[in-house]
Amino acid sequence: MNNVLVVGGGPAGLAAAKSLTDRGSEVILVEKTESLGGMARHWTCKGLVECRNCGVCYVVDRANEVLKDPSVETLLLSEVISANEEGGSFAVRIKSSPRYVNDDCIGCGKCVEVCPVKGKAIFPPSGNGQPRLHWIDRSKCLHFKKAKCDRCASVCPTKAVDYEDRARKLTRKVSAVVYATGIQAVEACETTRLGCGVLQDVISSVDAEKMLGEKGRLTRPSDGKPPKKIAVVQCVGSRTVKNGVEYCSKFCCKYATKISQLLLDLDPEVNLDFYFMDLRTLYEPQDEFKTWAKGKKTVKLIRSMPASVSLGADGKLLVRSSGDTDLEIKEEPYDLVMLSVGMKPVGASEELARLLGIKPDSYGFAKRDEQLEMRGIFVAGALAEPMDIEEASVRAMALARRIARPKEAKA
Amino acid sequence: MKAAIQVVICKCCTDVPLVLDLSRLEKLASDSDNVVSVAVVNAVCDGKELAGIVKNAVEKEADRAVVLACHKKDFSPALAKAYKRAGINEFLVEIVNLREEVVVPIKDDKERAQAKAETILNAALARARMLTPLERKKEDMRTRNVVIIGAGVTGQAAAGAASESGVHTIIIEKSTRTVKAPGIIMSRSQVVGAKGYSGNYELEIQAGEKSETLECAAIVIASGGGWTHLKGPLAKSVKDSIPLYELFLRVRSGPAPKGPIVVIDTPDPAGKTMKTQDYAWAAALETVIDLKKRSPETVVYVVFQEMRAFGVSELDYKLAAEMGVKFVRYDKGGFPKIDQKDPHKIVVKDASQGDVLSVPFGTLAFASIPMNESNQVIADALRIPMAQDGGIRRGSLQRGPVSTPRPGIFVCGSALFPKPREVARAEGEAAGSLAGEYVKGGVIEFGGSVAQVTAEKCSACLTCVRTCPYEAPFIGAASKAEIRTQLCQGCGVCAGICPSKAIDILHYTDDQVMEQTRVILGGDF
Repeated sequence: MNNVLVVGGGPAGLAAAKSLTDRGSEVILVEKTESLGGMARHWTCKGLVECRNCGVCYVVDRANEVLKDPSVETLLLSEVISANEEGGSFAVRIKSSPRYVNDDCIGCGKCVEVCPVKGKAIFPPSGNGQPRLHWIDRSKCLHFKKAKCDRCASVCPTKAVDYEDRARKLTRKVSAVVYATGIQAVEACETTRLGCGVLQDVISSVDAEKMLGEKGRLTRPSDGKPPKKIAVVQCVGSRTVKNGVEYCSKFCCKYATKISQLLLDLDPEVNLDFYFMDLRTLYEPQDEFKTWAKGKKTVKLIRSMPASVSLGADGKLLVRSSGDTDLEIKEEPYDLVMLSVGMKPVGASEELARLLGIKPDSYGFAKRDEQLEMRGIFVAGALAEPMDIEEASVRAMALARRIARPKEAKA
Repeated sequence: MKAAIQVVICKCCTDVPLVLDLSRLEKLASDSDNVVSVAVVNAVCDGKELAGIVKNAVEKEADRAVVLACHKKDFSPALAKAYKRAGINEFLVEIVNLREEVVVPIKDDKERAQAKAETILNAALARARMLTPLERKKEDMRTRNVVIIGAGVTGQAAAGAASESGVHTIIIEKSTRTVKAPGIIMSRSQVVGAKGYSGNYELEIQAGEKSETLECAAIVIASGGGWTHLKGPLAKSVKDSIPLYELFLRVRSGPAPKGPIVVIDTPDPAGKTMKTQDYAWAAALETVIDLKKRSPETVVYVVFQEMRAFGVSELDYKLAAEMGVKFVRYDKGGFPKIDQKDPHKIVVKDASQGDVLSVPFGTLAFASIPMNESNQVIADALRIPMAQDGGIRRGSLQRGPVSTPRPGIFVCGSALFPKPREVARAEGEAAGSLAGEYVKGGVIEFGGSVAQVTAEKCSACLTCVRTCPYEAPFIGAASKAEIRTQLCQGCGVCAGICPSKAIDILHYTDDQVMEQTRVILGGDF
């Protein structure tokens, strides 16, 4: 028997599942949300003129591949309730919630239009999530309340809405567990001095990615106009002792530089100031971004952490920062401020992790543990330490090899 | 020309009929020449309906199809596959984006929408009549060899992973070192040239004094970093300079390095002799913390241009500062120099305070992992691009995480940029697995929509040979340009630039494109 349970359908989980099936294993992929892709499904492609190697499409493609793979049993809206170790293998119990929409859904979105619930009860998969099937939130849907509403079912052209769908409890026996529950973004609004949550035109990088993904351009949330002068502030919520996390999230410089390049591609006239502490664009040639910025007249790199963002005259945002030598303090007006937020690991302190014996450190990271790996429990992805999509996939591939060939890997 | 066209009109789930009069479109289609069947379906992306229309095409003996639907990235491969299974060439299935080109943009003006829909249907029919079937060709790989360049940690991992797919692994190593890894190891060898294409490469190898050729199907570049090549003005002028790993060893097991200790990011701050100034960030921090723990009274300076303490090593950065390690950041303008009067003093301008510091030292350690100088040789031989800092540039992540722009060549480890051992090993394993997986199949596929030369028109001016980014055209035995189909990606640059109009891209030939354009614009132009 060579069944492997993969917990989490993000970049690491998907890459691990794909490599494991390539090596002849059967995979049970359990994902908590309604679609695969993890955090990456919310991100936007950053290549307008040329590919910028952000890796978002790679995740979406892998998700598609895994869904079509007959050796992978993909369980969406599901959670592992328990895992009992019995002589080298695990008996796992999985609770799979109903989706109420079956595979016939073609994603036309007519059901969302007619749904009478405020804030809707039937949703498309978020972002670029795969599969492109809608799903119903039972707690909001009127069909399951007194109203017995069935508007979505009646409007569906392919009769994909199925109110008879039921929750399932599954038991599986697996020889190894890949734990890849991944990360979440650090809340930018914890740092109130930068105006997040107070000033409308201060957005986090998560908002910016979503906006760029959906609309293809950035606009000011206050008046919908395209911004002419943008400030990008790095290390918000990372490398700080007060609010957020103490470590460096490693990939923020990568995505922020790529978003900056995308913004310049979209509008070469836009003025962009890039505030940073240390430019840590790992995965790229070291000075590539600096060289690029030097070649653009409208881009300025400023080594400074802004002290505050406040509202100035005519709706402009005033960013207060010190100059290069710490001696002068200046205020610059901007139309839009983007705060590049870091990451926090999630899931290492969940019940399942405790059952498996995964011990998180004080930040919530679960480091690679040889002892656990001997027992067949593998921690993958950014749950182990900060890493980007590329590194998470590469490491998950290597991990799949360790699972498939435990003896050789030890030697 | 005999052509039997099937026209499929997709309602896109009731979206299309709201704007367009489908019966008029249907009538127009069935009245056109060569059309043998017209089908209207609810959703062509639905598997059952797709099977239905393919069956209908077979019954009516249609040999090509025009499908008016939407532009859905994942519906066209399924469509092509379904038709292919029914014996209709995939290149003869023409998809028209009715929904996003007509229905969505001109929702309000129904007459205009109808007129546009009819025009693009006519144009698609005109194009469909002129299409010719194309086949993708297959070729066997001559060998099952995977060549791995570099026998370091990464290369060994790659060899191990590749050998699991049952392929032959050959490691090419520049030095004389021998390692335990599956397959053959050629020491004192270097790749100096390469011919061929993905699946059938022919490498030219300089092995010692001899020159050999080696056939292989895939290549993994694991040349690693160049720890051993620490040269530069600083390294030259200071006798007691050591690389970081030596400092690390001496801290651990003695003899204790002479203090005060200066750890500097590069032996060549001005960056003239070496392209790179890459810095062993995490390792440097770990070493100085270790040093401070063992002998807290030793004065330690870290002189750097950019502190890239990634991830959790940021905590080390903080810890080191708390333990009394002095960090000095310099800028490109004020790079450090050795004091001319005293060779044991380094002069550096602190960028954050603006002061010029004169730091005495007993030991100068270079925490630098310069890029491997062989990277240039390898990149030139395999004709893959380099990054400006001296590493190999990786290809688009869409092809896979350790790929290069040329299929069948993978790159991993510190050949890309310096990285910790664990990550390098993981990359090596991933690259090895991918190479093994690729070679295991044993067959390469190529052709389809590629360039084709009309020999009579060609004047052998070499323009295409010079222009092609994939090196596909060459001047053949008949003194005319020919295309290596295995290398052609169908980009069309040669067809556009050819002064004698001798090159066509199949499936997008001048005739086909002009005929379609003529119908859209309504007459000659």
